[in-house]
Amino acid sequence: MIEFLVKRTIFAIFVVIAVSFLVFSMSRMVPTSPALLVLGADANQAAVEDFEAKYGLNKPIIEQYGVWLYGVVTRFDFGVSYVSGRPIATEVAETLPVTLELILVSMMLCLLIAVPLGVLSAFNPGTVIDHFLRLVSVVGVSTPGFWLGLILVMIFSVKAGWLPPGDLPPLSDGIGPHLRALVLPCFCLAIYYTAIISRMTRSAVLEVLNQDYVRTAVAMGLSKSRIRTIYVLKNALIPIVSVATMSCGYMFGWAIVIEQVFNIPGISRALLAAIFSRDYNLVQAAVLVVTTAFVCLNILADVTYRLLNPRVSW
Amino acid sequence: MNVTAAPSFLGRLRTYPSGIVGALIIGSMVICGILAPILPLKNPLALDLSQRLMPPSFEHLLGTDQAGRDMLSRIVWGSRESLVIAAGAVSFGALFGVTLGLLAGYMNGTVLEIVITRCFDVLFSIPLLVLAIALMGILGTGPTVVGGFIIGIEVKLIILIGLSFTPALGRLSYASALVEVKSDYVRAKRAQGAGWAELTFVEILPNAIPSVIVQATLFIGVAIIVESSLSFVGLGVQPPTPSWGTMLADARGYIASGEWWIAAFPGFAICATVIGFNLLGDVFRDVLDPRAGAISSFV
Repeated sequence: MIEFLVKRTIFAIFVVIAVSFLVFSMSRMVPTSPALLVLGADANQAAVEDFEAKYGLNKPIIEQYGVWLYGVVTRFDFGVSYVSGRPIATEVAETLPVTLELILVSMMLCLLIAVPLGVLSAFNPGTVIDHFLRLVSVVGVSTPGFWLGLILVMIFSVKAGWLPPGDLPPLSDGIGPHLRALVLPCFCLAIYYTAIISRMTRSAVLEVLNQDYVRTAVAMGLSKSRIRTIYVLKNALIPIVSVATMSCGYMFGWAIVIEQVFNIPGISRALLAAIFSRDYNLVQAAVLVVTTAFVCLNILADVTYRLLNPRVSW
Repeated sequence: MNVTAAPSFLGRLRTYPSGIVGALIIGSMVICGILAPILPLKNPLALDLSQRLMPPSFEHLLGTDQAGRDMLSRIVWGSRESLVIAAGAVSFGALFGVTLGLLAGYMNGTVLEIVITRCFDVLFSIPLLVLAIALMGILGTGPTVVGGFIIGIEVKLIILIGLSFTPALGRLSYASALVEVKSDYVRAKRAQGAGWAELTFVEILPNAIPSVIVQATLFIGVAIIVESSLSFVGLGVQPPTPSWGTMLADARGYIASGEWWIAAFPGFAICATVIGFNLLGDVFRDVLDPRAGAISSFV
């Protein structure tokens, strides 16, 4: 197990460095200097050179990257935002928890719908529930979350006035408004994975139902409910746990669009805003943080799968 | 003995009604997209402020947008962008992924195999959507000049979205190639003196194709959603070129004021098209590749 973890961690570090170096060097190779974006396009040559010297932009890319990475690793120092002038570590610390909460609540919502639906339809193949699941899974993977968001806002916020159309009031303003503001964005973020996971649950349960040990249990005369819960569900849900963990990583990408629709102050929206204001320090930091979270979730998915499934060797 | 011929591919396809629905949806979208210049549609770019924000009517079947442009015409012209970029991205991913996957499978046991499969592993462990958005933001949505070639936004989208499909399609064909390369018929061909190119592309490739077609069909649906999402946030197709994503971005301003048709119809177009590809892909799986389990495709 230790060897497995060490190997995966080394690989993950390599991936994170490769991605952040790609983004870092690309942003440095863009012809327009950040100096011109900050100081204005008509800034004089001396001011631009001063700016570049101040932020070390005149050094070779590999050296700049080394300095940046060293700062990140040793001091948690991502540099300063070119736009707001604030330390980027502060911006990350403010926005990352929002996105994490959005993703976690979405995943819980997704599992609450998908797992019972998938299990019920596997136990009752060919019934109304089974057809309903088929419909949900096709429509769910085919509906763009951001469009669903627009439509749901139109129905539930503008017409009915039940839920807020956007923004996320902090928890300090009370848990009620906070949760109400999360309903629509979480639903929109969850729908795609609800479709995928419900379908996956169904096929996982069906696969376990065909195993020899289930037939043996039936032959032994164990009760139906005992077989279904202890023999079938326990085994069928093992892959679901790791798929759900990995899906949380993929949600960071879709959260960019959902946070934009609902005006939620998370790290994904900060990344998008930074892209448009050419605040490359913030872009690099956001990509680094999201990639790190993504690889960590992948490792977690692998580890839980192996922990839950003793048949898989480390 | 009475031998019944196995039903043809099309014959088996006919027994799946959902596949027919999917094929009809995609077929009509493609035909409308191709025929857009000669269909009796209004000019999708013509501004007419006297006609702005008109609800659906006989004159404008799906209404008009904030600049008085005909929605139906813009949706039909938008399908060209979406379909070309999605199909292009999946083709790019398939070309790249299948070639590398087959090569890795054929070079079983060599360093090349390890290098290629490691590359797939790396691509799998990157949040590719986030990376695509960041790179698109850095490169900009305008044309980029690379070594004398001018790369437009459509090509950038095709490459960035296509890259995210590469590892899945690559692993799929790698798995097929691994099985086939050890099979008797490939060994027999090799003994007859066939070279690597013939073995890989003439003998092994046809056996890898069915599962790739299944997955690629499903990926086109994903690509349409990714492209419209990127266009929606302003990092894809740029206005005034009509595209479903940018139409929805325009619609954001009219959610509160009740002009529902601006947001509803482009989204229906996306949904319908993606449902079409998903229905067809599911049926392809049942017909072409019944052994294949669901391969997760999250992007």
